[in-house]
Amino acid sequence: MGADHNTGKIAYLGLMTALAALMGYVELLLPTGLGIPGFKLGLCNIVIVFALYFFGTAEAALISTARVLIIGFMFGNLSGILYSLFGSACALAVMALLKKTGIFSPAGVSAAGGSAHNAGQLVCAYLLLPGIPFAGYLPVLLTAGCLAGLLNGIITIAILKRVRPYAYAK
Amino acid sequence: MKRADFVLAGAILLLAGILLYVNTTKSIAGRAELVITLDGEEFGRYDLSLDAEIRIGDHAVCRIRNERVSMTESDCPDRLCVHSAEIGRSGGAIVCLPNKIILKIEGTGQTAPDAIAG
Repeated sequence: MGADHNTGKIAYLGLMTALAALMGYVELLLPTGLGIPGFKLGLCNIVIVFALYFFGTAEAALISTARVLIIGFMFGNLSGILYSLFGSACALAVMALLKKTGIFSPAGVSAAGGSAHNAGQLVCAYLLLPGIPFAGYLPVLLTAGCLAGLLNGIITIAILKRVRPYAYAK
Repeated sequence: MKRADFVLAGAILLLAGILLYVNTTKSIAGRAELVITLDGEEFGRYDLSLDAEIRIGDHAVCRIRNERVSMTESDCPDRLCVHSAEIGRSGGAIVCLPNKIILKIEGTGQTAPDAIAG
């Protein structure tokens, strides 16, 4: 039983990593920007937030890191990977903490995660290139991350509602 | 969704709003310069009132026209800098992270002479 359980989980994690990487690719095809540097919908975050609630923090971190590396090496460059890793680590830390409080639904957790992701990337950019107008970008990036995260969170709630009943665990 | 979600999202947006308010820079009066930073070091200062096309290193070209600055060419992969909005006296900056270029407008502190006594 224990072995089966583990195998099933590995399969699920692989599936979700593929899904997260695919979301990252879909996002590259979408015309984004809106004049805001670095603005993205963060569709892969749907998968990450889902994993956070469906499995747990460690599993979500695994999927998140794997997809950053996959997308980064396929389409991006090394500095892009660095930004993404930093951003996603910040987002995951914030989301895991907020989830633990139990006060928020995935929508609020995701909104804070989106903001934390963008703030983390900005910090990373500032460390690599001091002199960028940090304070000028922060409000824009916080707002964009919050709204995109909220949207992703609402989608995640809808997915969780439909998938939970079929969960092999929990 | 819960009420707490709205409070949280609202708090983040409020924080962003406050930061935006605090950071809103006043329009620069008097003489203004375009300051170009390349790889953390100052590359050059250019008078904003003189139209110019400036080649920055081997990777990018920016342009001053009618006191407004835009990045016209760059070999970076995403070209976010080229698509960035123009900047002018009201402040702001254009950043190209891959090429490590920052374009910023700064006041020189001098006011333009009303008239030159001859």
